[in-house]
Amino acid sequence: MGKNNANHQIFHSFCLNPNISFDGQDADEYPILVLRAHPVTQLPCLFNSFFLILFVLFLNFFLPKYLDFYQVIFVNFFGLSLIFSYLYFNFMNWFFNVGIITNKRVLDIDFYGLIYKETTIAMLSKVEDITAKVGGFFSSFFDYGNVFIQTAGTETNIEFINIPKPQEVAKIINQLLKNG
Amino acid sequence: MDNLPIINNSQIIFLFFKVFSLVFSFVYLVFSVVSFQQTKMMSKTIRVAKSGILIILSIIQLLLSIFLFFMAIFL
Repeated sequence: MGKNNANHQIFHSFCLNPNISFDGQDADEYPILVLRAHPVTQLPCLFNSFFLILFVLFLNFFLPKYLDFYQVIFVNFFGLSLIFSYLYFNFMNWFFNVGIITNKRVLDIDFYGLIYKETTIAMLSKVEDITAKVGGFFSSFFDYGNVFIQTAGTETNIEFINIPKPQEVAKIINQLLKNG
Repeated sequence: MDNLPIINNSQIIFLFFKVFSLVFSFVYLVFSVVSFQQTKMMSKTIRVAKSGILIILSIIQLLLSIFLFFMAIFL
């Protein structure tokens, strides 16, 4: 496991044997699969940014009538900085909202906005049922969907939303359960 | 009445612009500081090989916001 046989697919949204570590990882624990939302789900953010850039450029036709040169420069700079931050914020949200399947556990790490962090953990031995769902035109076309992992007892159920290859993920977890 | 200052349209626009630019650039500065802290925290939670790039991006954002804030002050 590790660097040599690491396999990162679909823009790092489906990483087999990745070379990463996480908070609270046990010494004898290693990640087998790391999942992020399919990159296609991030397209609206890119489109929004593109139209916002167009809007900022469009403003330049009107602003010089009311503002002086330095004020126009400020508005442009401020607008572009906000768009950069919007892109950066969305990228961070995508990059750090991960599902991790290790040889011992299943983890779902979520960051909401800039302030909230939620980590859901379930031991592999407690996993009872795995459901993979793919629905809709885009989901079927790009092969992404949701995986629901039901656990025994009081442990929280885990959901991986909009991840690529949900059937394969369910298969990998099933394989781990059989081996474990 | 003749001694009252007369404020024309361009001065009103300038005043509004000054207030809004200061307020928004300050809010953006606060957002960038929080974003920088959060990036550091996220990078500690999930450690990847090239997390330094993300820290650098958040520093760029922070520097941009500081620059904008000073620009708004001296505008």
